[in-house]
Order: sequence, then C-alpha cells, then structure tokens
Amino acid sequence: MKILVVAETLDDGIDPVSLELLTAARTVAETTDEVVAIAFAETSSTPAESLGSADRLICVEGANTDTLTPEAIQSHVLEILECETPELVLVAYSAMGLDLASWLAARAEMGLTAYVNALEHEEGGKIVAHSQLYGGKMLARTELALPNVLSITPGNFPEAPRTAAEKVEAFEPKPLENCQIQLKSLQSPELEGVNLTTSDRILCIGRGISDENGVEQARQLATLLSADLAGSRPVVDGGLLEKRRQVGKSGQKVKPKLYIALGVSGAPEHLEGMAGSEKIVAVNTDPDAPIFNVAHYSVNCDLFDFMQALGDRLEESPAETG
Amino acid sequence: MRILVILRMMPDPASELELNEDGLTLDREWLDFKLNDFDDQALEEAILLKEATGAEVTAVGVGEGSRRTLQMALARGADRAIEVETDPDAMICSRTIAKGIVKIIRDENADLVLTGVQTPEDLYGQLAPYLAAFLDWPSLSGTSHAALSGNSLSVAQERGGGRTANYEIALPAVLGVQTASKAPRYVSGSKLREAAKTPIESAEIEAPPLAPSGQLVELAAPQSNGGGISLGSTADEAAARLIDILATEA
Amino acid sequence: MRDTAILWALTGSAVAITLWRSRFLIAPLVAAGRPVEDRTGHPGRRLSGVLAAVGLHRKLLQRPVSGVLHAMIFSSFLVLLTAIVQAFGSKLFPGFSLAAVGGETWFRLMQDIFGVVMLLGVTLAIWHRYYLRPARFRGSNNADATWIYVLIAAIVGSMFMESAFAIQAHGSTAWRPVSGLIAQALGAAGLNWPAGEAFFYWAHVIAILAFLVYIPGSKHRHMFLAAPNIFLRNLEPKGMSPAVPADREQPGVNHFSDFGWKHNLDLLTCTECGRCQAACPAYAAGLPLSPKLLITDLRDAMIDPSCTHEPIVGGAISPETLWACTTCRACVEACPVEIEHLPKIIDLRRTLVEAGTINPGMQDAFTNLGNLGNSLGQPSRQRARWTKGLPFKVKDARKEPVDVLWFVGDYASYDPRVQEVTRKIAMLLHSAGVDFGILYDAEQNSGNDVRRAGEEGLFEMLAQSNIDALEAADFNRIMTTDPHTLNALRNEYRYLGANYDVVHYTTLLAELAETGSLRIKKTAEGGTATYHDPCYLGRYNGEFDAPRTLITSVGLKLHDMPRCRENSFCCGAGGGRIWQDDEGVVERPSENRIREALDIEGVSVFVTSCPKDKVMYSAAVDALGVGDRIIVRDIAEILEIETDNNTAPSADAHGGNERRVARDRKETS
Repeated sequence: MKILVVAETLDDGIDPVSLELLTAARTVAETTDEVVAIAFAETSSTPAESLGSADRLICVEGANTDTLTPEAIQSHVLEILECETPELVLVAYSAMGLDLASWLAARAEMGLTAYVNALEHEEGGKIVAHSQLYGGKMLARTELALPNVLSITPGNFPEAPRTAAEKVEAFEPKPLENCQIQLKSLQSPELEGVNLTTSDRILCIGRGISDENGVEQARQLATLLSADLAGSRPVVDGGLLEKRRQVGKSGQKVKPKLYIALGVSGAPEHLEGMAGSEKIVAVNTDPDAPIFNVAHYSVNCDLFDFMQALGDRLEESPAETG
Repeated sequence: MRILVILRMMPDPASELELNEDGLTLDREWLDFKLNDFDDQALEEAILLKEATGAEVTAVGVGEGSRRTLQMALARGADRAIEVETDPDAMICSRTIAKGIVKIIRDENADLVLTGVQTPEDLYGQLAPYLAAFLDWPSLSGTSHAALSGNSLSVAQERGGGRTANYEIALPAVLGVQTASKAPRYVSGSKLREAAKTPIESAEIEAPPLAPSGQLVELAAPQSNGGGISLGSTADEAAARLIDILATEA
Repeated sequence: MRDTAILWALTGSAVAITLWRSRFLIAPLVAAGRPVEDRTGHPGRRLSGVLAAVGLHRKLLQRPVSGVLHAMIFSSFLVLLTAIVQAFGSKLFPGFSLAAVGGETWFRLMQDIFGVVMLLGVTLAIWHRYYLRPARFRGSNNADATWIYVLIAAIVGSMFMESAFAIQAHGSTAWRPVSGLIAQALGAAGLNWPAGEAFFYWAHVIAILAFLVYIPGSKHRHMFLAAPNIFLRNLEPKGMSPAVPADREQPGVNHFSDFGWKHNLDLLTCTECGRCQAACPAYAAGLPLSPKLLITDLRDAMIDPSCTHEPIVGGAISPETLWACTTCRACVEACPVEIEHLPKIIDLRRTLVEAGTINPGMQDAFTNLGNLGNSLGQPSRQRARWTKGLPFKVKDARKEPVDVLWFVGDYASYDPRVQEVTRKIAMLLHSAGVDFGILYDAEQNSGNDVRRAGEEGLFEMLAQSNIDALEAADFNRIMTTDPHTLNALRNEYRYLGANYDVVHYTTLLAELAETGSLRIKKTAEGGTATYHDPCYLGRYNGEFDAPRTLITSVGLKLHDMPRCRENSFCCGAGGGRIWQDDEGVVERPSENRIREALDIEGVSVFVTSCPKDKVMYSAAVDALGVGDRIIVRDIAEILEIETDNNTAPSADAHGGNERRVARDRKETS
C-alpha cells in the first residue's frame, strides 16, 4: 500500500501539522507499505530537513503552500497522484486542506473521510477511521474503502520526529494554464489586547477564585500553560477581571481547543459561551456542579490545591505542554 | 450576476443526539433541524452582494424542514427559492448533493455559488470543493469579505492563527463561506409572513450512485461525555494526568 | 369705558398670542390618527377616575411633601379663579358683580385665606425643588418651574396689594383679614398711595395674562390638559399591548402622525414630575432610559417644527433607550396624569424590529423562538422532559380532557434551576387531586415578551400556534406558572379573538388550600420572609393576595419590602431584557432588589412566584455573595403537604432543595 502525505509549508519551514500527518500515516502503514510525502517549497532543502519520517519525499520547488493558490496546489497534487496512485492520501483539516481534500477525492475518484482524529489498523488489513461529527458530540467509525483521502484534524496525532529525508525527488509539474485565482496579500493579526474568541487555550476562573490573590495565582498558571485568562460573570462583575475576558452569555463565546474551568459552577449562561470548546477540563469541589456535564475531564478537588500542583509541575517541565 | 446559495438543514447542535438501535444512524424522529450556521453566513453574504451589485439570488434548500428556511431566505432578500428533495432519514452526503446540484447550477446559469464552509455532518467531505471539482470552477473555502470587483470577486480566506489571505477569484466560482461581511440580519415575523406568499419551487436531484467512501461501522457518543473522565482524586494526581493530556491531545 | 377698552384689547391680544403660541402644539394632535383603543366609552368610569386623580390627588399624595404642596397650590388656584373672574368680569362687562352670591363677603375671605395658602404652597415647592432636590427632578426644566413660581407670586401678590390699597381707600377690612393686615402695615410704614388700587389691579391683570401667554410653552399646560388626559385614558386591560391598526403599512410607529392623537396629547400633558423616572428599573440600573425624558424628548421633537416630521427612532429617541425598557409598567402606574409610556415604547420598538436593528442576544432569542418555539434554543421536542422525574404521568391535554390545562412556559420547562419548582408544582396539584394536563410539545412560548419587544409578526405566529393547540384541547381553565404567560393568555390573546379563563398557580394553590384540598403543613414556624410581586402578576393582573396567603400559611412571617404590590420593583428581566446582555448596567435591578430585602431586619427567605424571578434573584444573591443571609425560594418550594402518616411525597424533593442550598453556599461558582 502506498500512503501519500500532503505537507504544509510556510516561509520559515514545515508546518508542524505535516509531522502529525506523518505519524498518522505510520499508524496505518505496515512494514511493506510506503509513506510518500509531497512538499511544496522554494527549495527542496527545507522539507528535506524535516520530513525524514516519510520513505520518500516528492518536492515541488518554487513556492510553499502558504503562497501557492489553491488551484495550483489542487492541480499539482492531482498530477502527482496520477503518477503515484496511492491507496491513501492524508491532508490536514486546515484552510489548505479544506480547499484540497474533497476536490481531490472528486477528481481522482477516491473516497473521502473527514474530521479524522484517530486511525486503527484492523485485522485483515482493514483501516478504520474515527471522525468527530456534530461538533464532537458523536464519534463515527468508518471502515475505509480504498483509495481514500483522509482529512485529519490537527492536534490528534503526535508530531513525527524531524529527521532528514533520504530519498528526495524533484517533481516538475505542468505549468498552470489560465489561472482563475490570484493571491493578493497575506495578513497577520494585530496582537492588541486579548481576543478570547480566537484563543486556543483558555483558563477560566469562577467565583471559587475568591479574590485578587487567587486571580494572580491563576494568571501565573495561565502564563505557564500559554493560555489566555478568562473569567465567569461573577469574577468580572466583582472587578477581578476586565470585561473582555468574560466568557458566557454576556461575554465572549469561545471555542478554544482547551478550556480549563477552575471553580466555575457552570450556570447555563456560562455553558452557552464555552460548551463548544474542544476539550473542557473542569475543576470543582462540588461533584454535582453542572460544569461537569460538559467537561471532558473532571477534577474533583480544591482549586487552589490543583493550581498549586499544576503550577509546580509546569515549572519543572514547561516543554511538556506542547 | 446570478448567485445561487445552498442552504442545508442540520440537527440542532443544542439537541441531545440519540442513536437508533443499529448504532449507525441518529434517531432523527425527535430532532429539531435548523439551518447550518455557515450556510446562514453564506446566505447573508449572498444578500449583501445582491445589495451591492443588484445580483439575483436563488436559495436552494436541502434537508428536513428546509421550506421554512427558504421562506426566511426570501424574507431576507432572496429572489427565488428552490427546495431540493432528499432522503429525510439519512445524513447529508456532500458528494451526492454536489452531483445533483450541479445540474441546477447549470440550469440556473449561476455565476457564483455560495454555501457554508462545512457542516457537522460532512463525514464524506465538504460541499464547496466537490461542486468546484464537478463544475470545473475555481473555489475557495473558509472565506469572508466577498466583494465584486469587475468580473471577479475579491475575497479573504481565514487561515490558522488568525491569519488572512486575500484573493481575487474569477467568476464563475464556488465559495465555502466562513463569515459574511456583516452578521446575518434579523428578519421580523411580519416580513416572514409576507415572504410566505412567494411560492417555493421544488427540484429533484438525480444523482448517480457513487462508490462509497467507506462503511460506517459505528456511530457513538464519545466516552468522555457526561461527567467526563475523572483525572483523579487528589490535586497532585490530577495535575499530573492533565499534563499528560496536554502533551498528547491539546 | 376707557379701562374696558384697554382690558378688552389686552385680553384679546393675550388670547391671540396664546393661541398663536399653541399652534405647534395643536398641529400634531390634528395630524395624528385615531387612537386604536376606545377613548370615550364608559364616561362614568372615566369621570370618577378624573375625580379621584384630580379631586383626591390619589397618586400625588403617595409622595406626601409634593402631594400636599400640590394640593395647596391646586386648591388655592380653584379659589383664586373667583378673584380672576371678578377682576376681568368687572371691567370687561361693566356692571358685572358676584356680590349677590357673596362676591364681596365670604369670597373675599376665601381669597385672602387661599392667597396665603398659595404663597405657602409655592414656598414649599421652592424648598422642595431647590433644597430637598428629589432625584426625580433630574432632567426636568427647573427654569420653567421658577418662572411659574414667579408668576404665581406676582398674581397673588398683586391681588393682595390691590386689595390692601382698596382697604386704604375705602376703609372696610371686614372679610379681608390678610389684606387688612397688609393695609395696616402700609399705613404704619406711611405708604399712602391713592392710585395704588388701580396700579395693582392692572399689575394683577397683566400678571394673569402673562401667565396665560406663558403656559403654551410650559409644563404648566397640565392645568388644562391633565383632567382631559386622565378622562381619555386607556380603559382596556393593562396587559394588552397596543394593537396594530389595519391601515398601518408597517407594524411600528416612526412618526408622530402614526401615533394616535391621544399619544401626542400625553406628550403635551407631561408635568415633568419624574415619578416615572423614580420608579423605573432601567433608569435605576444606569441604562439610557428615563421614562420622563422619553416623554419630554418626544414632546420637544413633536412641537419643534423642524423635527416634527422627522423619523423618531434614531432621531429624538435612540434605539438603546428603547431596548432598555423592561416593560414593568411602573412608570404608567406612577404617572399622576395617566401618560402611557409603554405603548409608545412598544410601537417604536416595532419599528426597530422591522428594520432588523436588534442586538445579538435578542436576535438569537427571536430566531430560537421562530425555529423552536422557545427562547432558550432548547429542542422543542424536549419541552415536557421535566416530567421525567415525576412519580406519575402528567396527562396529555392534547389527547384527553382535563379540568385544568397547565401552560408551563419556557423557563419553567427548560431551565434546570426552575424545573425542580415545576415538578414541585406538579406534585402539589397531584396531591390536591387536581385533574390537570399539559400540551407537551404543542406548547410554545406565549409571546408576551416577544410582543413587548416589538416583534409583532413573531408574536402572532407563536400566539396562533398556541391558540390552535388550545382550541384542539378540552379543558375548563388554564393555569400558568409564569406571570408573563398568564398575561399573554389572559389579555394579549384577545387580540386574536381568543378568550380564556386563566389563573396563576399561586391563585389556584391558594384556592385549593382554602377549600381544604391542599393541606399545607406549617413547616416554617417563626421564620421571616419577604415577597416580590412580579410585575405581570401584580401590577398588570392585580394578584397580590394569593401568594401572600400561601406564604403565611406555612407559618412564615411576611414582611413586605418598601416597594411592594403596585409599586413593586421589577427584577429587570421583562420585555425582552432577559435576552440582552448587561452592557451599560451599573447596578442590576435584581441586585438592587435583593439589597432592599436585606435591609429588612430578620428576613432570610426571598419568595418569588415567577420562574424568571427565581433565575434572576438566585443569580443576584450569587453575585452579591449573600447566600448565607438570604435564600431565594419559589412559593411552591416552601409549601409542604400535610399527610396523615407524615411522609409527604415531596419530602425527598425538599431534602434535595436543602442540599442544593448548602451547595450553593459553598463558593464553587
């Protein structure tokens, strides 16, 4: 079996999600299978440094995926696909991946499985993909029909080690005729103040935090976690945090990847603002606090003890938090 | 310009999802259906483009209860509405819908097709790129700020980390809309009642059977639901477990 | 003869100027349409209302200082009217005299006495306005008030001086004790002025005419307009929102010509007393709404020829002002001249909704209501899910006849904090042997607050859906949990031709207790509670006593808050406010209210009878962190049933409540 991984490249190198895709590929690859990475880059040396986890690297020189237009990526990947005829193609569930995956499946007449967060290799060579549907409320297990394009949700597979690729092939695609899409500019966000709606990690404190000392402790913990500090209504009302850090009905509606709720009871108005978070960790002394109804992970202990314990461990090994 | 906007009905995310005994399908009998959020944005973007350019907007409704949504679309400013009949008991399959809708798009002579970037049911892929592949039109997903300039559309694409790419895309084209240039407007009940007088056309889509992408073997609520996984009974234990999780999952 | 001609000329020109000055006041009344409600039927009822308001100062005396001073000025004005008649009659119509009916005897006595009363009243008014400075005058036109004080003093002063110089000239002090004293004083001071009488006569006349000319531009129009405005008040049930006239193109109002003339008359009648502002929860919360300024801003725009044809919304009145209103009706209740603030706000909100300019919270709520029939975004099919925890099956009123059809309402059905109360009510009804049922998922939000938020079309859709479900059911009367729902079903649905016998659950439970079907245990001997009158139960629908009877029946001592019954202070959730965020709120009305309750010695239970109140006040107690001093309880929660073997079916539920209280007190939120 041949597995093709479409790497994403930025100006300053490989997008880490590409390494996650390589791990995903290895999860289902048997020893006789071949994992082939495709990378677009100005020069092949950059991807060659990091994508050694693939058996083979096909490199299209000229531009990275950040600046190529979707139609160029579509066309080039399709061209490679027609030469390689892989059984599986792995694409990240990202802006580029959204433009590519379904289009490719339709053109190459492959199946497609989206929102994949885990892969299993079953006996008899069957591959089963786990997909999160309905905003994570349901998990679908699909036995893949091959060939298949997999759209993999970032953050679910560990990154493969960055090693140098041994076999690097250059690929010269057909020039694109009659371009329909032009990239005009790329913008990065202005980093003024906190914008919880785009935060990946939020540490939210509830009334259990008591006073300024508790808030200060939480602030330090948030820094260690590289999370944005937020609060529930009572905390903001109490003047302990500024209004733009409020989560809930009358504050921000947030959907971070990780939401840690410390001493938040979880009134419906609060849940409305954060229940869409991908991972919710709730810490509360009350085992019946409604926050536990939406939590993926629960900690039933005093929040100050917890903050202390977590803070100590993070100071020991901050790198562990990804 | 003729804009076609595709509106899909989804189980209400607030609903408690329950499964049928087969463990493969949702019990749709007791579900409320509502317009997919991103499709709502697509509709607003279509209406804003109409207001800016005088385009004609046709709304195409897919899924259970789409009639009501199409009435809403008319009240918001769509010129026509077409209801597409689909199997009410099945999850939406973007690829099948795309195959079927291509004919409507061609019949309607559309220059621009808008739909939401994704739905929570897109197990087998997203609609916009499928449509683009079948129509052989250019397409962008995750868009915002669409505006007509000459014979092309300037549009932004939202990338990870809050970055934005600004594109110029030639028409005809397909957009998977993430955010409309303005929040979807509210239409009052009286306008809805007025719009109810506009007839809704209907269309059947004939889609050739497709080779399945795979076989669904199980649909289940994730285990962590309902109380979640306990990380332990002491603060120290819980902190340690959380760090493991942070390192592997989030 | 010369004097007669001069006076005719003066009076004629004063009247002409007055009318000329009034032209911008009259034009909007003429241009406006007909009021939707009947404004002249039941003349007896209307007149008795006028007599109570004007003659007895019913509302004015609720504020003693200003009530008394107004009564002094008002009664003196009536008496001194005779002096004015005499002053003008004697000169305009030579030979005119009231002497035959006592014009020179006890008329003069009364005028002397009330002249003093008037001056005392004015002094009191000045002390009140400039020394006591009640907050309700904030934003009122003080210069206008001052001019009036000056003019009144001039009129009365000149009357006394004329009278005193007349005594000096003609001698007799009989029937004129005060003027006599002044004459004596003048004499003692050596002031002898033969022409004084004539001089002050003309001064008096000119002061009166100046007053007349001044009035069209002053809040003192109310001298002429208050009584008619009260007479023409709306006699429809308080809970009916303004109907949309069939000939109106859009549901809302955006121009003065779209209001009925009575609404425009309201604006002219306002006395700027600020009683509405003092009662308003939105104003107290720091939101940009004062009912007084709403009226005066509207008035100023209406009588300004450059604004009178401009759109009102976004012009004279900002959207934020309109959205701030909780529709609690305290302003209308407080207004001594029966100005109807609420219908104006609702009609103007309709314009906003029609234009789609609503805030995100309301948009979510309206969208949910349109799609799911509830504002909370909960699945419509799970409306009756709360019944799952009950040991019996609640009858399905769609399928079998019931005596009482229970219209449960959104919050009581869906909000986890209220569901426990809802189940408790079910248990109480069950044990009292009431034959009741619910509509299950055929019930939708009643639309009460939807209508008040200005979403007329959505209201009609919701109401029609409920009416269809109710028409298909077989029942004798309806019971509601939510006072808002009660109001919609009882009052608003008449608009769509549906009339129901609707009671609140507290009314029904009190009735059951009275007949002995519900045996209430005295569980709370010795405790002290206070009770919050929900706006839509009390002020709107007049039910004040049933809840109080129930509270005392469990042995609680009831201590009312200063603002109770008709003057109850809104929790801040009504009229669509519960769907909006707290932006701009300095102090939440609910927290203001909890503080009011905490000020009463010994009160440890705050009793509510509205699901929204339970939510709002529980949150307020949490926010204030006073859970250890006061607990919020719905009436149903404090009622326990007396059973022979002493194992009440609800004992467990009660235990559960207590545990929850204990939990709430732990600082876990």
